[in-house]
Amino acid sequence: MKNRTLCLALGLSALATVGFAKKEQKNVLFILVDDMQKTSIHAYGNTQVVSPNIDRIVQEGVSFGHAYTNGSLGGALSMPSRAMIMTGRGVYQVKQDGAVIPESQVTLPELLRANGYETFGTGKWHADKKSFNRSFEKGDHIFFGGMHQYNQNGHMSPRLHHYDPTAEYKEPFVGDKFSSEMYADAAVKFLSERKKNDRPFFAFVAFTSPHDPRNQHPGYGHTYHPEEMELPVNYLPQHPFDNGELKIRDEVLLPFPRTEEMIRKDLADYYGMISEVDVQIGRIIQTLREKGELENTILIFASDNGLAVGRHGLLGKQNLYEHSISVPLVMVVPGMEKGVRSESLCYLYDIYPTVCDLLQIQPAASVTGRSLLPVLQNPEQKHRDQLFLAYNSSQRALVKDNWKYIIYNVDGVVTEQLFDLSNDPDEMINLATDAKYAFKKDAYKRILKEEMKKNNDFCDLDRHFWRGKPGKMTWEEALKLYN
Amino acid sequence: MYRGSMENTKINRSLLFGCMGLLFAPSGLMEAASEEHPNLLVVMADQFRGDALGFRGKEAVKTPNLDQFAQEAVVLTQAVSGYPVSSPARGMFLSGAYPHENGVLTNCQSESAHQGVELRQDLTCWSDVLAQAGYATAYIGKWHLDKPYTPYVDCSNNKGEMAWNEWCPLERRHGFDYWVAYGTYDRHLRPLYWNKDSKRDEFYYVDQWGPEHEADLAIQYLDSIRSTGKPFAMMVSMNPPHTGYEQVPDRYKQEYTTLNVDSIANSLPSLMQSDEKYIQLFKRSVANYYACITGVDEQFGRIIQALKKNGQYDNTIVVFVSDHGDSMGMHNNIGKNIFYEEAMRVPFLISYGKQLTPRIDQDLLISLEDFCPTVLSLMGFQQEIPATVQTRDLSEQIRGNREKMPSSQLYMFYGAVNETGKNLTTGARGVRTLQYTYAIRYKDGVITEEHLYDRKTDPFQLNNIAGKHPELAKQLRTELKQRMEAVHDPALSVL
Repeated sequence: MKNRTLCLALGLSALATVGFAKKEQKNVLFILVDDMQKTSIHAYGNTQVVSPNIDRIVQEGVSFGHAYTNGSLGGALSMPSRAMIMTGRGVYQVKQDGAVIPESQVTLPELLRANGYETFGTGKWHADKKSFNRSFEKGDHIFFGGMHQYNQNGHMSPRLHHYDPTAEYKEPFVGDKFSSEMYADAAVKFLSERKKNDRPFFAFVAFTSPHDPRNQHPGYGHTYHPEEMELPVNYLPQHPFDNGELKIRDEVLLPFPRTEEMIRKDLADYYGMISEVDVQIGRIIQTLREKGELENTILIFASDNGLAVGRHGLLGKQNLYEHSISVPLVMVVPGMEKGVRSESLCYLYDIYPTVCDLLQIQPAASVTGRSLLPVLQNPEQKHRDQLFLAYNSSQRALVKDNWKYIIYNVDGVVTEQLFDLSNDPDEMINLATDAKYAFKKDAYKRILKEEMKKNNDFCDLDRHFWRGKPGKMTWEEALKLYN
Repeated sequence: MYRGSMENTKINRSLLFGCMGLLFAPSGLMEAASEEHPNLLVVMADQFRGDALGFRGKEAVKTPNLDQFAQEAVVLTQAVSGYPVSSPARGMFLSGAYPHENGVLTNCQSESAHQGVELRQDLTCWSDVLAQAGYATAYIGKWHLDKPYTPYVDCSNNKGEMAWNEWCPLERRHGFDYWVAYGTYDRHLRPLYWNKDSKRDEFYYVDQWGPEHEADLAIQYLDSIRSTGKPFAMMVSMNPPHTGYEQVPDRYKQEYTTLNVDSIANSLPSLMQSDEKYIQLFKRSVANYYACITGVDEQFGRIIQALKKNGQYDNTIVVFVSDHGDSMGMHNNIGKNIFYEEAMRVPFLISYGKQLTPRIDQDLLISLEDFCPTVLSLMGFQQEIPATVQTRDLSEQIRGNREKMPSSQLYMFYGAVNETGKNLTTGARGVRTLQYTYAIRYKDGVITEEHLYDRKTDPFQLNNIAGKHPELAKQLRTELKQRMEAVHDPALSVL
């Protein structure tokens, strides 16, 4: 009898070491929205916006209050942001500002796919088609591009593709529902059709809301009235100086100066898009719940970048203020604490190694991001000492210890800003010219230069023209920089 | 100068003198590797699938050293082994001649030995050329090019129905001087070797994982050759991840204890349609297979490290390949020897210091057997490519030139070798293009199967469309015929 128990124990321990230790294979649902400010979520204190499903996610997971996209070379911030998320690499490590994801950069879904995961993608893909197919073995209602065009009826008639195994994706079809609904339809169908013993899945749902065009809204969601909208506290009719990017598409959607009436209307349209995408997000989560898979799924919710919508007199995201460059990021991990918030500094491209850690899969060699697992386990845990942010060849910033330093160079004209984010989260009081903080400003500038050098920045703050010549960097030039 | 039994053969003597006459007066022998004539390091693994490289993102295997090497090398993602089984692949690799010319029609073992299947002694291989040119030459590991003869060597894999492992005498080593090698022997944790001076019965065992021992030897060799200053050509032929997957050190097995084996298996349609026993085989094998690969990767990394530490790296052409892939149950197949991607495609990475710009080449339809003329060309010995070479010099294309790109890769299989005279009328032939895989199987001179797969729309090769697209099949059969004609393939009569 004793021998038998011994044998059994030995046998079991042998099995364990030999690799029959069945780890839980959690699913991953990654919901990415487009141009959503972190301050436009009800659960984060915005009493005006209606976002019950996103609120639910916030209540269930760990929120990262200081998550950022690393920046962009060109004006379409979404392109590098998404490439960085997918590859786990920084802004100067993606190819052609994110337009192409080369094979040498193994994407997160691609890696999971090699590890037996069923990978599914719907919605926006701003990189090349081949990388979409390497990443996802299934997909539907796929949108290749940056935004739905105004002259093609915007979100109401999205130009979409069904999955094409040859990756040619020739002619898109015209979706007959609002974009968000089409993407949710595809996700719900995928999740509904899965069977009990299927492989674990990685589903990527990349909504195009609340990116513009915002001139049309679907029949569902919440309607906002401009006259009831509260202006943001840091609303300005005009940006106080030339930040080098005041004439880009995003900024000229409305004329200068932005009147209060214009911004109230803009906000009503903006919140309208947020409420509608919130409804669609709810559908997907409900499907997971009905399938009994919610308890076995890691849920990630984020936006690729934010949007100004009237703050600082800006409308777009081609700037380094909190509203534009900082993003909402929530991770719901079954078994971990709920409704917790971390202030640790992180980049969106840290998501990739974090998911790998959670699934006990080694990230690909091409990943340079840093895993947030220690922060998920202890929200007080420091993650990065500082973050550097970059826009084009005209704006750089350093975020550290709840202060932000921004420096601009527009044709040789340099402007500096210094914000105390703990007391002035809306970045209204520029302390750069305050002698009391001169020491801090100089220190931040020095550290920013170090970060730029470390990250192989093509700009040098010590040069008169940062990139060595005057004028704004063109799209073509930007694409050739890091190849 | 190379001595030895080569002088015994008339053919070789004339070749030897011929070469000497062309280029080398005794004073012209090389003192050291130059930019014109670099060193060569070949590391060949066994049964290592082309997709099983971590940086390719296709299989869940970890190969940090090869990942790093890929940043410094030309990565040839289309590379295949044209006759994807051990001895035939190795025979072609060394000689650049096809089986009907080089003698290795199938694996060297006691049955095929009756048909004389082994590498022709008188054929000039790339190692012969380099030895004649004054290179220090070294061979470490699996060789598998000699026919076993009685009384068979007294080791475990010679005790079954067939005998496999045979000694390679001095005169059959094709110019390799330093020698620690064996025929074929799969006990990876306690490998067997003969060294340069060992007699046939003087083989010995080493209580160390084969690749690790072989890397130790390689590093010692690199250190010692450095002090002589001679140019060197070394081939290290590691056995893992060949079957015997479980025979791998625990520290590599630990890396895969949490591998999603079921999910990975379920994600491969080419496996899921196989018999249950093959699906189970895959599930039992894949974690250890990857463990072996991680081990081979680590040992490869050690050798590269030594090259770099010694300052030899920049002036050495480094090549990492495998003799064939591994079906592991996919397409109802175990092992190799078949025209599906998992069996045919092999890793093929080549670096040459700063002379070759690192890149991933997705278009070059290179075969393992093209190695001989290609490497001789890259090493500055284009004029010395033996007349018997039938494969292609693709050195220009490896350098990045897109002209004269090959239109296809040849696939071959010789069946029924153990029965006299039947090997030319039973077997398989095929061509692989960038989009299609086409193959025919024949028995006693009659074609029994025709296969055509469109890998663009059907990457797992599940749908044989030969019947549905006869025009396309005909086109590819013509391409096959042309390729076979060009190399005087005796099986041409079947077509």
